[in-house]
Amino acid sequence: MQVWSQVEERREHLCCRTKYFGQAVAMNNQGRVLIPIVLRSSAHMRGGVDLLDYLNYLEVWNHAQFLKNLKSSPITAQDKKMLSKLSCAPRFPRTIRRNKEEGHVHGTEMLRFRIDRECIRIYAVKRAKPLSGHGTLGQDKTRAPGAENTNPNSSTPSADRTVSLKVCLPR
Amino acid sequence: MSNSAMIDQKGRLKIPATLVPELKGSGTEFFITSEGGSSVRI
Repeated sequence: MQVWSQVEERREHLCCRTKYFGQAVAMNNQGRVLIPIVLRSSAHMRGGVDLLDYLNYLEVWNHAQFLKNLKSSPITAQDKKMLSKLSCAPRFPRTIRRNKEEGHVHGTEMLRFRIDRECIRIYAVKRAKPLSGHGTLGQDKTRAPGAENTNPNSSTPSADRTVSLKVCLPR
Repeated sequence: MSNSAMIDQKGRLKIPATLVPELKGSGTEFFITSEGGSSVRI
C-alpha cells in the first residue's frame, strides 16, 4: 500500500482508470489474494495465469491474452537500439563507481620485478592504456638500477607506479 | 521473472511460494489495480 501511495502521487493522470479497477486486498496465510470481480472479468482471470514480478509490483496476465499482446507489439528498431545500449552498459554500477573512486582500472595492472644486486623490487604498474607490445619492458631494462621515476603525473607507463615492495635478500 | 500461477473457483490468485516472503516483507495488504483492464497489477 505504501508503494501504491507513491505511485499514485506520481501518476495522477492514471488515477481515473486505476481507481475504477483498484481495490485494497489482503493476502491470507496461504498466500492467496482475491482479485476483484471487475478485474476478473475484464482481464479474463481464470485458471492458469502468467505472473511477472517487477521491482515493486506484480503483473498478472491471462496466458492467451499475454501471448496475443506480445504478438501485437513486436520489438521495434528503437527497442533493439535501446536493448543493445543496455547490453553495452556497465553491468555492476556500484563496483565500477568504487573502482573509479579508488583509481582502479580493470585489467591494466601488471607486476614488474626487478632484481638489483641486493634486493628484489616488485612494482605494481598501472597503465593508462593497454600495452601494444613489450616495448615498455625494454625501456625499463635500459634504466640504471635505483634510478626510479617517482613522479606520479609522468606520462611514461613505467612512471605510473602505485605500489613498490622491496624484499631484501639475505647476504 | 515470469511465474505461472493459478486462480481458483473463488477468484483467488495463489501467489507462488518463492514470491511470498518478498511480498510479506512489504506487508500483507496490497492495492490491486489495472491500467488498461487487460492485466492485473498488484
